[in-house]
This record gives sequence, structure tokens and C-alpha cells, in this order.
Amino acid sequence: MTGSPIIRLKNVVKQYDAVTAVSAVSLDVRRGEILVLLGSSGCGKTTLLRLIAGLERPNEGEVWLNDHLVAGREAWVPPEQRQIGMVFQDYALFPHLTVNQNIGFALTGLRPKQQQPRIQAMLDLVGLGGVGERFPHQLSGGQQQRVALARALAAEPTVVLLDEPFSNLDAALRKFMRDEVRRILQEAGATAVFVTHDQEEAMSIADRVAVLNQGRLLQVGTPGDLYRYPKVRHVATFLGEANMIAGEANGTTVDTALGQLVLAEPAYGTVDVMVRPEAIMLQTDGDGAAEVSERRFFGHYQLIDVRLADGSTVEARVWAQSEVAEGQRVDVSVNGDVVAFHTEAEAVNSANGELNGD
Amino acid sequence: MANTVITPRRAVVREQQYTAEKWRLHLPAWTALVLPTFITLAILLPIGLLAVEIFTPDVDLWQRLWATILPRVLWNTLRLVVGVGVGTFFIGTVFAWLVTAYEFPGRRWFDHMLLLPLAIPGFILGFIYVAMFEFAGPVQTALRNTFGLERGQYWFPDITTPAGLILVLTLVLYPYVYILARAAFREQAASTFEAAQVMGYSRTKTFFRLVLPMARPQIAAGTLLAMMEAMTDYGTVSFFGYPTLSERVVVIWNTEFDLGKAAQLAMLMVFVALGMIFLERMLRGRAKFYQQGGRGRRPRRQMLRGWKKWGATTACLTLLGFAFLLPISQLVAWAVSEVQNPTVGLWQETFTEYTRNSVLLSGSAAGLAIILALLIAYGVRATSVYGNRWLPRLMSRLVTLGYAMPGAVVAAGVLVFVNPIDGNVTAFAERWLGWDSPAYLLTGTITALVYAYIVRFMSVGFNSVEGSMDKITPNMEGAARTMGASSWRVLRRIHLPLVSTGMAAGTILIFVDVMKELPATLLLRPFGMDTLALWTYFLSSEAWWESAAIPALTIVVVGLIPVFILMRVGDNQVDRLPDYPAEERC
Repeated sequence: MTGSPIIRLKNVVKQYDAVTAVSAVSLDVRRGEILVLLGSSGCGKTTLLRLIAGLERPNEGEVWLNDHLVAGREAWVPPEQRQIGMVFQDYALFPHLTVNQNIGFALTGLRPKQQQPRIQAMLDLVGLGGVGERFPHQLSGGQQQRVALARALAAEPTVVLLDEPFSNLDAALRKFMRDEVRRILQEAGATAVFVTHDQEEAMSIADRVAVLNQGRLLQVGTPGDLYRYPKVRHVATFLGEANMIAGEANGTTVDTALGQLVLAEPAYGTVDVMVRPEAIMLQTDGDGAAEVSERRFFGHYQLIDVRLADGSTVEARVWAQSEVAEGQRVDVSVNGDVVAFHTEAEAVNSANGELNGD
Repeated sequence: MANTVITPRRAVVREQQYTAEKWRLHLPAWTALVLPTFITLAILLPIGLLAVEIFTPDVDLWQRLWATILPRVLWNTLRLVVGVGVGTFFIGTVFAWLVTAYEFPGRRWFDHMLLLPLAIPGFILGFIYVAMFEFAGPVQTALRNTFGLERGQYWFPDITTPAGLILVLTLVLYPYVYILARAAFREQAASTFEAAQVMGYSRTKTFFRLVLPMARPQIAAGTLLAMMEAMTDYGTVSFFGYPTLSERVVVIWNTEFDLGKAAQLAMLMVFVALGMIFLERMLRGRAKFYQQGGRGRRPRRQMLRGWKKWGATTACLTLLGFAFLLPISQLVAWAVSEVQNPTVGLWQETFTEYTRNSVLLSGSAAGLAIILALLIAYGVRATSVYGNRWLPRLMSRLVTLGYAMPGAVVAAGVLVFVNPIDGNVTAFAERWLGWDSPAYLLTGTITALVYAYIVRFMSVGFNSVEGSMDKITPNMEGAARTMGASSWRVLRRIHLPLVSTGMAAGTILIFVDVMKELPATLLLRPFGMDTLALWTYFLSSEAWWESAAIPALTIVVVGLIPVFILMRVGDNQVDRLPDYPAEERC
């Protein structure tokens, strides 16, 4: 990607009375990418989105949109002048307007006659060609969600902001809509900031993910990077199952109950090593030093609890076809490099590390 | 964060800058509140002035009152309020449960029709009942003729007793409990109900152990509303010659012209009313909480069989018959006979004049009140969106206070405020303008009366407007703004259209309430200005039933409009609740 970032947040702070919802967040969003803000509820991700939209005003820091300062100590551009599209968690469709009128609401500059082709194009894009004359309450949840998306995209905004748009849909529809929205956003060539608390959703839709916790930005990166090389313990555990194994690091390697492992980044001293379950390999032939203590079947894979020689237990993910029985002796090895976390002063690390985006 | 070290001096400057910005940001909200605050104060003024009265209590007067009428009046009020409370609770809850949980012939029809008695003011049903069931009335006459009996040879319940009065008020007020209980029962999800059934609870047992406790906030709120109406009633109790606090306030002012005494008594009622409104608010707040879990399937109705089936139908028909069908048939019969051969002989001219007066008063009060309500509701919303909590909340509470005040109390408050103004203006006009005994500026015109109506019924308008404004989520405003709409466009395209139904409903409700109003009208009307309600009241006091029937029927017919709206609103809510989870398919 070339060019300057389309959204740039600089040390943005938002406080409500005593509560700090967003604390000194700096983040760049690149042109054309889908960036997901991921975090558990109450971590400040929606507030961050509303700050970008201009629905909230930061207490400190700056918000830049398309190289314009839109919120800062001296500057303020109200939401209606920011040229953004937003999809709300509850869709916020106007109940007294038809689908056509809802979408047309965004097309302020155009006369009704000029609006119609654009509205039709948007409805076609979201696959709802025939519902233009209906009212929101006559649509299903998934359809309402698409109308909200069409409405947000109609005025060709520079940025589309989506606040947990799928949280009101059931699991099957959610999966389908996720792919649809990704397609639609890419077809429209829009830059999107997407808020969710679902790490699977985040990783499947995002070009990059920004993980937030308690108002702080912990790490930004591609889904693969975040999953494999988390910089903070919270990111490691939030994104998926993680074995935390005690070890002694000496530079490029670390000694653990799983043997000597290769570190992705050099470290020294007593550490916790994160090993993803699928990185743990089980050899079933021969008398292993470890024993299978429990086995849970999930269809396309299974999770195996393995008791190691030192008595600790790790979790391994193996294919559904693997024949592993409880009580079986196995040999355990680790595939690839691992990440180490210092056992103490995590907070200091996370505050001082290079966590302010790239 | 290493580069954000700041000296204390800079920190102070920064603090000030941000405070200034905070103010700038909040300024629109504050300006939006100035007007609403004035309106609220104007509405509170009459009640506030009465409060001053009570802080300067006339000990002598109270001793005299206590020695004479007060104990009896208090006992009467208490008896009436408790009696009506028990009656409306019982009838309202039982019938709401019947039409929600069971299926029987005519159920759908009764479901709606049981609301009809809302359209009949208490004093109208009161005079119909007295006329029908008194010694010379059609019922007793028919009994005597059929069985050849004379006076004293048979027993017949006397309608003009406290029990009769409680019956009449219960029959017109039970819909308050019915409508709220029914809404509560409908909202309860089938899963809760089914869970109880799986655990081995019968329908009846589930009702007492689960359904009733869950609906308690709404039922209690409805019952308290009915009790409040009973306490503030003037027309019915006065027709039955049953002195209550509300009735005494009017009588003392109207016969003894002792405003101080009336005001002191009125203030006593304000305390009772405040207690009741507080209780109601508390329970209503919880009701809101309960409604949040309202999505899901509704419990399936049980088909009644055998005698129970027709028993349910008969019960509903009996209630509807006594509360609406019979009295209205009687009213129609009287009206027809009056039109065919007039007893008083004047009804055509007076009818037109009084109808015009009623429409004028109701229309101006409703129109003004709804506009003021909109201004307040908008101010309240604008402020709470900006994060200020206590001021809008306080305001929305204060502004709805008038509904708990009897018309007589509000009228007394308005008089305390308006009388000195009138006196001074008149004196000024006589002395400096040389006018010869000019009419009073406020009490001589409808100004004071309309003012009293607005104070009394503001809460009706405010609640309707606020209710429909609540449906506009902050996200809708946010969505409109992100789509480039200015705040003016948001108001015009989003707020106004969505609030307009609430405004229309509020206007109709106030219109009808004013049309039925008696005590304030009696105390504050310009000399010689009669309304349909007053005319009904006067004629029925003179036992000219046939003549009273024409204005009474007019009031009932107008009163049916909001009842029909209520029926439709109830239906829409039910339509939106799916019987089974809506299928999420594209």
C-alpha cells in the first residue's frame, strides 16, 4: 500500500466522568484495507469507532481523516461533514422510511430522480434488488443488516465503519454475511473499520487486526502475525487456545518441559512460552515420555490433553483422523518457533513496547 | 508516553482549555433547556403556591376542620380509594388473564371490548346507575310490576350507598388494570411458562406462582392509577353525595368562597398524591426493566371446554354488559326519547353552544399542551444525549406531577396565582384607564381555565411524546449525521415524523380528558360558560335523565376515539411479537 493513511489516530483519549474508555490510542488505517478492532465488551472499541465517526469528541489527541485534522484541540469537524458511512449494531434504520428512502437519505446532494439509479445499484450490490418499497420492519434481520450496509456505502464514503454488524444474527447467517460483507466492501473498494468481540470473525474478515483491552491498544498486525507472534499475553490467549509453559530462555532458544525450543525473538531468563495446540506434534509409535490423559472430539479436529514427564499438562490439536487413545504413551515435539513472555511486569512491557501501530 | 511529560503550569492551561471546550460542546443542550425549564416552572407554579399555603398552616382552621368534617371526609376518601383499588385489581387482573391464557367463544372480541368502559366518565355511569336502579327506576319498577309488589315488600340493594359508588367507579376504572395486566401477561415469554409446566405446575398454579409475581409491577401501577382517579374524582362522589377531600375542596370554594381553606385542604391531597405518584414511578421503573426480555414466543392459549367455555363467555359478557352495553343502551334510549319529545325544550340551541364551548376549551388546551410537551421532551432528550442526567430526569418527573393532582387542587392553585393578578389589572384599568368595572383578564376569559387544564393534563401529552421519542434510538440520530444530515434536517426528517403519531395520540387524549373534566371547569370557567360535561352534571343532578343523556352520549362517543386507538396500538404490539421465532433467511 502506498500513500498516507486514510485514518490516523494520535494519542486519542476519551473519558466519561471517571471512566477512561479510550486511553492514548494511536493507530493508522491504510487506504483500502479492512481493519478490525477486536476486544471483549467494554474495552473501548465502539467508543474508538464513534470517535472516528465524530459522534464522540476526544478529550485529548487528534483524529485525522484523509490528511485533514477532524478532531483535535483546535479543530472539530462534525460527523455530517466527514464523509463516512457507518453501520450500527442495531442497524439504526429509520422505521418510517422505506428501504429506498433509507438509502436515499444518504444521497443528500442528488435530486430524487438522480438518486434512484444509485439506490438500485446499492441494492443490487447487497443482493436485495426487489425490496426497495418495503419498510424495515418487513425485512428479516439479515436483510436489515444489508440495507444498513447499502445505506452506509451509498454516498461513496471514504471510510465505512461497522459496529458489531453481525451480533444480532444467528450463527449460520453470520458466517454467510461475513463473506458477503467482505465481498461487498472489496467490490466497493472501501476502506473499512470493523468492530467485533469475536476473534474468529475478526481473523476471517480482516486484513489487519487491532487488539484492544481496557481502552488500550495492545497490538496491530495481520491475523497470522497476531496469532503466531503475539507481543502480549492477553493477545495470545484472546486469539485462541494457548499453552503457557514455564521455561528458561537463553538467547535464541528456551528450555522447557517440551525440550529445547527455538524462540522467534531472543529472550533471557525465566519466561512463559506460548505454544499453540496445533504446533504440538504427537508421535504415537514407541514408548513416549508423555501420556494422553483426555481426548475431546470436535469433528474436523480433536483436542488432546497430554500429561508430560514433569506432571504438567499441555493441549494438542490433531486431525480428526488421528487414532489416539486415552492412556496411550506418546512422544511430544513442537513444530516451528515459539514466543516467550516475561513472567512479571507484563503491564510495563505492554505500555512501552512498540504497540502503537505501524 | 515518554514524551508526554508536562510541567504543572502547562497542565493548568490545558485544563482550562478543555473546560472551555466542554462548555462549548454542551452549550446547545443548555440552550435547548432554557425554554423547557420556563415551561416546567410555569406548570409547577400553581402547585408550588399551594405548598406555600401548607407551610403557613392555619392552626385554628385545622382544629375546626378536625372537629367537624375532616375525620369523616378522610375516612370516606380512604374507604373509596381502597374499595376501588381492590375492585379494579380483582376485575382487571382476572379478565386480563382470562383473555390472554384461554380460548373461548368471543375471546378475540372481548379482548378489545373490555376496554370500552374507559370511554365513560364516572359521573355519567353514576347517574345512569342511579336512574336505572333507584326506586322509581326502570329495574325496580319492572320488578314490582312483574311480581305485584309494593314498597317495603321486597329487598333491593340501594345504589346510592358507598358500596354503589365503589361499584360504579370500579366499573369505569378497571380498564386501567386490565390493559396493563394484559400487556404484562402477553409479554411473558412462552419459555418461562413452559419451564414451569415441565416442572409439573398446573396452569392455575403457574398463574399464582409465576405469572402474577412477574406482572406485579404493571398490575400495581394500574391499580394505583385507578386509585388515584378515584381519589381525584369529583363528579361521581358529588353526585352520590359522598364527601371526599376532592369534593370538599370544590364545595368549600364554590359555596363559602374561602380560598384559603380550600387551598389548605387541597395541599393535604397533594401529599397523598405525591406518595402515590412516587410509588407508581417506582413500580413503573421496574416494569420497564421487565419488558426488555419481551422477545420470543407467546404462551399458547388453552382451549376451554364444557361449562368452563361458556362460563368464561358469560363472565365477560356480564362485565361488559354492566359496565358498557346496558348503561349505553339506556343512554341511547333516553337520548332518543328526548329528541322525539323534549322535556326541557331547549336542547337544540344549548347543545350547539355547549358543544362549541367544549371543543374550544378542549382544542386549545390540547393544542397548547402538546406543543409545550414537545418542547420539553426535546429539551430533555437533547440534554440526556449530552450526558447530563439529573436535570432532564427531574424535569420529566416534575412536569408530569399535575396528573396526580385532582382538578380541584390544580384549580385552587391556579386561583391563588391568578386572583391577585386579576385584581391588580382590574384596579389598574379602573383607576388609570377609567374603564367601568372591566371583566377579569384571566378568570373572566378562558385563559386561567386553559392554564389549569394544561397543568393538569401535561403529563398525558408529555408521556405520549416522550414515548414515541424513545423509539428514536441515539444511533438513528448518529446514522443520520454520518450520512451528512444537519441537525435541522435530522429534526425535520427523523424526529418530527416519528413523533407525530405520539403527538396526535397525546392531543386526542388531552382533548377527551378536558372534555370530561368537571371540578376545574366548575371553579375557573368564565361566568356563564357551560360545557357538555357541566351541562350533563347539572341536568343529572336535577334528575332530568333524558335531557342529560344527549350531552352525556356526546362525551362518551368522543371518548371512544382514544379507546379505539388504544385497541389498535395493542394489536400492533401483538403483531410485532411473533408466535414463533422469525426465520432469519435471506
